[in-house]
Amino acid sequence: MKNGTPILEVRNLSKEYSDFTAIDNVGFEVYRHEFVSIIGPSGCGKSTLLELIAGLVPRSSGEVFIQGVAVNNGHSSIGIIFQQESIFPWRTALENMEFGLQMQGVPQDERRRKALEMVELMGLGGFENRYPDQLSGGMKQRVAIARALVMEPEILLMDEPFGALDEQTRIILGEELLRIRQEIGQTILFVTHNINEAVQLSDRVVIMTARPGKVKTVIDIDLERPRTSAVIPTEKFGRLVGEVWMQLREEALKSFKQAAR
Amino acid sequence: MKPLLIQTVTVLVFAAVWEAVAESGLLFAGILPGIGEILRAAWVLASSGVIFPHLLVTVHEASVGFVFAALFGIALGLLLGTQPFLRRVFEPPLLYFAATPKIILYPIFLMLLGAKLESKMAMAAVSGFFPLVVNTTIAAAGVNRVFLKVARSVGASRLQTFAQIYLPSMLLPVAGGARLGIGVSLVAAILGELKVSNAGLGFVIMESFNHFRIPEMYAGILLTFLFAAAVNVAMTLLLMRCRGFAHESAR
Repeated sequence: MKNGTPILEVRNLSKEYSDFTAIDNVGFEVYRHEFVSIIGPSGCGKSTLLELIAGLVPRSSGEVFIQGVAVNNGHSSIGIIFQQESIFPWRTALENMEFGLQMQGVPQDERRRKALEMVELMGLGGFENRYPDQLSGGMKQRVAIARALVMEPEILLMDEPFGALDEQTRIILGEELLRIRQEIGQTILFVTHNINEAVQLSDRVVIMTARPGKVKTVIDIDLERPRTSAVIPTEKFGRLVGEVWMQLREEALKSFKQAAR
Repeated sequence: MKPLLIQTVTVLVFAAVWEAVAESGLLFAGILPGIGEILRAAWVLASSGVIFPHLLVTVHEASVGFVFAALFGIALGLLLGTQPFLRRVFEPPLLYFAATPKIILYPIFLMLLGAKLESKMAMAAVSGFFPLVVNTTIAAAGVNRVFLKVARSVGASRLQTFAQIYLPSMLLPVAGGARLGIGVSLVAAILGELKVSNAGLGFVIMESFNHFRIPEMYAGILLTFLFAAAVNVAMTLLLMRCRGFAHESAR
């Protein structure tokens, strides 16, 4: 899996604000078809890290490479999904999915065709002409994912995309995400604070320290693929969750004390 | 149906009490004429066509004033709403001004623009400006940050971001501001007419008062009230169309 040029390479990335350092010298790679999660204690700058990579926040130092090419202000081949509700209430599900293509000047019938393919892939059939206020939270997030995937990004960045959903919906959508990933071979970088979710979904889990955020260690998740949520009761799953937690525990305690101060 | 029934009954009760007081002779008949007399005067004003040039003048003053209010209010609101520093500097004084009765500026407008339509237009413009600038500022600043990030992540240009994110996000609050603004512009124009003028609904009311044609004065008040109510209804319908556009335009 880890051969050739990585799809995404992050090198010595830092972000300093006037009064604190959010991200300190972070580096890692994501290879084609890989699912990598970033997990860290709350306030460690996970979301900032994703927005730095996506070019939505100016970085203080460091470099980001997409297939070996340095990118500065984001890149059309980086898709991003946010934790907050992000689909436009004034557009139907289908029109939401067409948004990115429309901004790039893709003709109406071509973007409609591509969006309809996404409806198929995401299992949104019958909901494509609904407005967001007629969709459940899970459906809305599916639309957001479709809106990013329709751009055929080299890598999809996901910032706690299921964080606002209930546990069961979260597990089901995670399973869906794995199925879609399998179907189109999508490379994904996924931020979460949920250990179970990170283990359920990932090939590798990058563990970050408490603020300032650094890479503490990387854990390989050697659970078989294709994978469903039926992996959750296995012994190996439990052991991996335990392993991630033992790495995270110290950092979570530190972060807890930082917050108390 | 029920609210409409209650509203109708309220109006009828009000009219009945009015009529009873007028008939009772408790008040000097010249100050409080009966409903019949007022309606007759209103009918004369309307059917003879005397009122219409005045109505037109008031509409002219209020609408020209409002167009200026909207142009400047929305432009400045966009600027303040998108530039946090400018907002911090200029919003507080703007809010203080907004709470001041604009009529205090009327003598200045009279000196600069004369006693005719232009001074009322200025009153309407200055008055209508505030609800628009305040609402537009809040609307522009309140555009969902995540929507803007989505636009940026797919490489939307500034113009695209404005047309596809700012515009639909701001439509309802700005339309709400416009509705308030039109009302306020109308009030300001009529207020100006009541003070110094030679035409307009406010002028008709003051003229009747000055010549002690009291039923005609009440008729002027009644017609002005009906006109203002009609403008408000029209604005409400327009706002509902906006809401439809903002939400579920397709169906």
